[in-house]
Amino acid sequence: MRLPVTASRRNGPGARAARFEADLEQLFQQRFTGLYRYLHRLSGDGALAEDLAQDAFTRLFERGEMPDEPMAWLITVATNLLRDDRRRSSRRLRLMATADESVGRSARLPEPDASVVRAERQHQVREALERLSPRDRQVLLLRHSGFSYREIAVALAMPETSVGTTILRAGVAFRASYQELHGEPD
Amino acid sequence: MVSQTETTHPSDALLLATIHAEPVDELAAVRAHARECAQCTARQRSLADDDAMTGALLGELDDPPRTADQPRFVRRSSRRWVRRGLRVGGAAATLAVAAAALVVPASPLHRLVSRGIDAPSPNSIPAAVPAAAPAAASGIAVPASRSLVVVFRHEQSQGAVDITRTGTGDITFRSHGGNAAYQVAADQVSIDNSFPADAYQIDIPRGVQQVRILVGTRVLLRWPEDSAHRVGTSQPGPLHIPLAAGITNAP
Repeated sequence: MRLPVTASRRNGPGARAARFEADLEQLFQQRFTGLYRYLHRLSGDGALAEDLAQDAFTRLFERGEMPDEPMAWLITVATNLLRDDRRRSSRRLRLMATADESVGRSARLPEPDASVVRAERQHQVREALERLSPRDRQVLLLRHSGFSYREIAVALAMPETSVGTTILRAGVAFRASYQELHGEPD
Repeated sequence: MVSQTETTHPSDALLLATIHAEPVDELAAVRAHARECAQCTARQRSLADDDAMTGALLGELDDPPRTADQPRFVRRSSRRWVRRGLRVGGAAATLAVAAAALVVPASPLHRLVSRGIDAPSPNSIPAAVPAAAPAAASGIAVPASRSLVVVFRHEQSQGAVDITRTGTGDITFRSHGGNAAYQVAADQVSIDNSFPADAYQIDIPRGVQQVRILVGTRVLLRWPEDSAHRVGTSQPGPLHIPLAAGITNAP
């Protein structure tokens, strides 16, 4: 049976593509900063976080259709991109280490205009975060970057019912580590 | 035999889920229990304080507030995203879609591409970011007491807060778009709007008798002093306050 022309236009590939683009733009406007914030806190590198968040959205654009859980999909892709970047960086640093050992360290120096106090506080927080298991760290950072329990569960392939207890446990461990290392926060 | 008076308290994880405004099945029951149970109310406050402390510490890792240039940041990101999409995609189909988008003014992609091409001068007024859909709201719920102070940490050039008085229950905060973070202390909620939302929605039970809302140090709203502006009256509909200006009533 032939569909009426108007119905086939409404449901045709062009309409689907337009819907996808509209959904994608809305998702980008609403959630880009959350993804950026998560990656920035996880990596400690704002420029890298911005690039990775954009690359993740680009891959979704190339995919051409929305996954069931778009944000979980984006988190997974972005986290994998970060892992790949770190692997490449570490290999590059290993190769360069023999030539100039200062290269690796200089990459971690604060910006010249960054406040020393601020850099020190960031270092303290990062030190406490590093004590968590990678999974607990990710869960805690995702939650405090505005992601829902469901998005966290799907992105990290864990039961949704475990997310709350993981946030609780990771939060306790993080605060305890911070206090042990640096005393009560201001 | 279990005594009739024996009470099962919700777990900490469940209490935390209600603070995070997660749609857990037991939400209504947990809130109802917490309202009646002093022990759980205290525990909920303690969990909220701990959660706020964690949020504040993690907030140290963020860039300095970039409220002023956030819209430009979003636009720049959009521009780079599309540019990368075109470059990395490479396929004829992708180019065709993008090319079509450029000549179809109604297309969202056209708007993104246009933003990239029509990059504003540094002094131009940022274009409004499209309103966010309610589906992407994030928020928290905190137990109500007699007074409440809400502090938006940074000025926003756009966006608004809608305040609704409710019968009973918790004070709830929701934000649409952007990525606001909340810190809860006794009778005070601080909203880190470094990544500002387009709209904030605050539901305040009538039992809360005194409310202050500040943007930085600027007072946006005082209850009950601003009652002339129909705040706290029984008129229907939320009170709509643009964040950039003072109090204005909703049409």
